[in-house]
Amino acid sequence: MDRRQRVRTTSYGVAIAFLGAVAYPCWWPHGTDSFPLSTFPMFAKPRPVRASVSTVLGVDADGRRTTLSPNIIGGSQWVNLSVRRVNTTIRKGRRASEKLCHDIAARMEDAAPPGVVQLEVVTETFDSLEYFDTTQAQPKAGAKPLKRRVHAVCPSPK
Amino acid sequence: MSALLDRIDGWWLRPAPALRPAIVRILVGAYCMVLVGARSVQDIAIVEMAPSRFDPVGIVGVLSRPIDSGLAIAAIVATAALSIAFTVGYRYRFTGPAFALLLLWVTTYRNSWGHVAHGDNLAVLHVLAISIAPAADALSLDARAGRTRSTGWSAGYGWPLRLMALTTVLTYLLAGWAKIRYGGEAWLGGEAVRLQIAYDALRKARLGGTQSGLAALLLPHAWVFAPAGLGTIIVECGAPLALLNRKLRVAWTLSMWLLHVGIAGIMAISFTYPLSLVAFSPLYRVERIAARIRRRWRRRKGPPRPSTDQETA
Repeated sequence: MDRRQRVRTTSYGVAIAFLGAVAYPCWWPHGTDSFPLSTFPMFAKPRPVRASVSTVLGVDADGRRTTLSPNIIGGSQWVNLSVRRVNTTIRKGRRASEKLCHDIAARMEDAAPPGVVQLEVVTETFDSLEYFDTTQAQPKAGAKPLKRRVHAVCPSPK
Repeated sequence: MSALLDRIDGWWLRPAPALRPAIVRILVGAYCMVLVGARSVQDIAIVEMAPSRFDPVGIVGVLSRPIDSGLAIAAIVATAALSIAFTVGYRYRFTGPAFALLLLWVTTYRNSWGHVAHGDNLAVLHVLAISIAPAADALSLDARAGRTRSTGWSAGYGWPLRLMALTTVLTYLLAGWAKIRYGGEAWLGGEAVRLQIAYDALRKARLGGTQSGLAALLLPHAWVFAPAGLGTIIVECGAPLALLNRKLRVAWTLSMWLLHVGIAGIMAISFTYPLSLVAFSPLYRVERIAARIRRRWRRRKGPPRPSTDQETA
């Protein structure tokens, strides 16, 4: 086998294996994802207009709610990690939600937003388009959820 | 049929200069070096999270629980060190594959904590592809030390770059295909992209994440999203056009880059690899672009200074 033939055989073998692996996720069932092989489903699935978001909110003495940061909620800058953490915890039940609430309160000790007296682990449902139905650059302040389910409440560190 | 196969074979095995994979190696290596370095603090925080949050994907699936955080941090440090060796082409036959495998491990491990991100996929696949190529036969410490085979033209310098180019095309094609498969008409009409942006912005608003003001500004205007949805599908599914000729390649690269600029602007999600343009480098004869930049640089610097003898005269 001459050099060119050797390059041909090797390169086609490597390419078929490599590109076959990259294309393989096409045959995965719906919703399956991995890394670095993926079908890149992140933006593909249409979202409903009524969207539920589980989160942890701060509540002041007058009952006004304020958002916290992903660092406080999930321990990292990634919103997606916070989402995953809160969702998984809520699925585990009330006791797990209460534990999460207390864990976050403990983490907040040095960085508690001013005026916050308690924390709430909640699932809120919004009309996602109505939430941003404004020509201002920021979402409507205090937009009301269509539904709010409170999973746990705990005091905020003073 | 035979003529088509011959054309594909001719394209695949077309010789390239040693400089071409060398430049791509430096670009991809430098990108990864910055990425691994800049994210190291965040990565260390991730590997120290509670073991209950560990949800392995890909090759990390061999583990049922996280490895010791000290070992995970050592892997991050080793990856950073090997990224330097990879970029400068030091003992590349060993450091190339070693860096590729460690980068695969570190990025997969990072994605094994409950959320699979999609920003690093293509960079990791590119590093894996070029790590097995003779990409350090030029512009490397190996070449300086005489540890390389040749610096001329060879089919062996060309096909790994074509493999990288095909990988780029295939990943975008998959992303476009997923939108048609899961979103269908909603994507083509723009409703899916609008609701996706609204959902993403809402989550960020309620979890205190960084939001783009542009999302809130655009969401009330439904008409904006029909061309955005259709355009996204056309650009992603049109990726194979980039393989046909230079004009289409440039047009596709620019469109794809603008799409990523749009995503960054509206959703505050930065796909840094394509935004840096490094993701598209295997599609081009980069040594010619480098030579053109060098010529322009020299011209801007002005004519060469006269020698000392002439000055004296």
